[in-house]
Amino acid sequence: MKAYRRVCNYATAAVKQEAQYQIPTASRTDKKNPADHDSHDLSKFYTIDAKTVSSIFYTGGLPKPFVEQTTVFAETALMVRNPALEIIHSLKSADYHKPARRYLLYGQTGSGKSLSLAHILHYAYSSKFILYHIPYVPIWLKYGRKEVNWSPTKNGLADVPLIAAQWLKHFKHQNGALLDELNLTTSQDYIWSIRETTPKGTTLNEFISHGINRAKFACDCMDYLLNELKAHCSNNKCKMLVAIDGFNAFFNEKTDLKTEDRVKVTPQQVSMVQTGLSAVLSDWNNGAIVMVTSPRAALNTRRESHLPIYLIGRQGFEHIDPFIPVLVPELSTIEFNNMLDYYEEKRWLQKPGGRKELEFLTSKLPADLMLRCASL
Amino acid sequence: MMSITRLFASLVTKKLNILKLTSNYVPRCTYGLNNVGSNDPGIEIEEKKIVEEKTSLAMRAYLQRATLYNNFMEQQTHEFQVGKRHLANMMGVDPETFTQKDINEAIEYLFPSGLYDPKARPFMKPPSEVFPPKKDAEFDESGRPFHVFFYTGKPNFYLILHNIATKLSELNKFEDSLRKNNILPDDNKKLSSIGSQWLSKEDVEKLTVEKLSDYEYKHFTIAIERLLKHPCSYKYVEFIAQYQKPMITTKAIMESSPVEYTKDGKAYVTVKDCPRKSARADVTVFYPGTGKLSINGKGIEFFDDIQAREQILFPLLFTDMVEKVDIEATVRGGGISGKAGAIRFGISWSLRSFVEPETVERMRIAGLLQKDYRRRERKKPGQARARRKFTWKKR
Repeated sequence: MKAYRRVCNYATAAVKQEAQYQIPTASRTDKKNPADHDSHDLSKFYTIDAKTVSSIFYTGGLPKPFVEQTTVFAETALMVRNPALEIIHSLKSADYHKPARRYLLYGQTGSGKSLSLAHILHYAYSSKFILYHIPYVPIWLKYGRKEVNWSPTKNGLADVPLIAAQWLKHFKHQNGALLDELNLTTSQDYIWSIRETTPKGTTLNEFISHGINRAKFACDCMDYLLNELKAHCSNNKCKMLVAIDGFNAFFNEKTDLKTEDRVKVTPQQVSMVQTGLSAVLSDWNNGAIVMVTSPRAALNTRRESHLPIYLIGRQGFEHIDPFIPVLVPELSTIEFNNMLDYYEEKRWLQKPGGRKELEFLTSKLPADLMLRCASL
Repeated sequence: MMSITRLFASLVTKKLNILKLTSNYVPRCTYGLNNVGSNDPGIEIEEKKIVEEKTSLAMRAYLQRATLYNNFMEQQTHEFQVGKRHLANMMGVDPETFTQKDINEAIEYLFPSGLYDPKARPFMKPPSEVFPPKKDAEFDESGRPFHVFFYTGKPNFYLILHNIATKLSELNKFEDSLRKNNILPDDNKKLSSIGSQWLSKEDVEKLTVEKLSDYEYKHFTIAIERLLKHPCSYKYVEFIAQYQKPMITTKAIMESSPVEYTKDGKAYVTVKDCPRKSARADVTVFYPGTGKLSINGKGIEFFDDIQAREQILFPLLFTDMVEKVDIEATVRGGGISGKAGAIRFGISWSLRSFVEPETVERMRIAGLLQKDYRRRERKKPGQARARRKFTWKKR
């Protein structure tokens, strides 16, 4: 074996294969700022620099498989697609004196709704919107045991304090710098307990820090924060984007949550859900609301259709009506080919050809395609 | 031959068949010394006594066996007939028109059986089907075998091999004579084995009434194959055809389903109830199309796993029709792989109408046009699954 290694410089008998074809390069756009994107950039990739990614999506917001892929590719490249571009365009041209507009992204599982939302979030972040961003609602209501307590302030509602504190951290991570810059303050006194109060005129950053440190009050803090922000927006002090991924989980029949006295909690009984629902009410202006409904956020017995009316039900529909529905379709042929070019460029897909097969097998759903190409 | 029957009329019953493969040898006179060289039956009365004395031990033993067998069969047939009439009366049907099918139904009704294997269930069949046939006498009363190949042990089988070899040498001679006259054997007349197959080992065993080993059967197929491949084999088409049987399924496969047309002139073929495991699919293939697929109103997303999706893709890829047809399928019953397999079969079955015959042949060889009759194997008591045993633990 040693002798063999010496002869051919390889530990195994496999001979290094020469690249027999020109590795294609994906078409990319140079415009780093999503505000500059227009129809010429459609179906092209743009890269978000690592600093921005960590400041927006460090504590959630990008789907986990995609994050894994970005670590492999050593860059976060998003494809400029029509649904996100439409909403960005609409956000740019909106009249902010009028009540906040509501957009609803919907589409099949794996069609790229969350990444479209990420694109919009990037736009909002770079245009100095305050992001009231809920990365994925089922994280609140599902997965593992969580501490659930009955709310001391709101009758009949349950708090999930640690999750709320976590979310506040997320909010602070995304918006801390901007809040400092805008110098927003509380408009009233908040009395948490006999000894703890937050006086009027405290900066919102401090207000949030209190919520994080005293997790018991995190849920209330979330709610008050929303009210403060709504008021500030309406007073034209700032702009806000409410972004909720997995919105339809608010209207599911049940959650995995149980209080200490073993009462099963429905989503509507969770105070954070009520806050989220109040966030999508457009009783404020100088901002916008983007929601994403996803079959995956629904209970696994109710995933037959991806249409919003099926997922959020009549009640949810009435709650957010009127809204602008935006379908996130599967990839178009150009997008599909560019995506595969990108994968071949990154050597994620190591063999050329077979594109028609891939198209058939994945029905051009990007998430499916990524998974399918992994082993090829 | 006839005389033997006449001679032993008292012993051998009518039912005993005379050996069928008699064409190749001359019946010899078998009446003893007085009769040598004479074929005249006129003097046979005199010889009867002598003949009986000269009957060999083997012949006597055979006759005894044959009588026993025939008596037994007669008894069985009688019992079957009586039983059949009885059964017909029990079922309240006219015994004269009571067929085997009615018998089967009656037995199934009167003796319902929960046994899994059909062979283990009660039945009532004519004795000729139940008891294996026996060979007839192979030698005369003096113990001399009729058959030239008697001492090979399997005379009928070796006779076939012998015939094949004879024919082959004749063909060789024929070909030589052709070539001497500068004539080449006609290529167009050459035989091919497409669409037919050789008799199976069981068939040959039935034909020869002899038990064959795999080795012997292999020899037979090699010999007949060699005869078939001879350039002049067309001379003995009939002889070869004796040992061939048509592949019935092939014909059915090659005949494509009738094509219908939609109002806007699109051709389509519908195949109903395509089976796989316990799934059934109705598949409609439209041609020309653009590669649309709908399974119970959904796309390929109907199937989550890649294996099932590839099942659907395979016939389309194989015939290069991925983007040339539209497919509509409704599928019910069964699980995931059953559903996928049922649709796959439906697609391949209807694609026959839209592709070249050569492609259909290729599809057949690839197994796309073969119905999959496999079913789930039952779980056995005392075992974990169908085959899997419980972990064996000494104590």
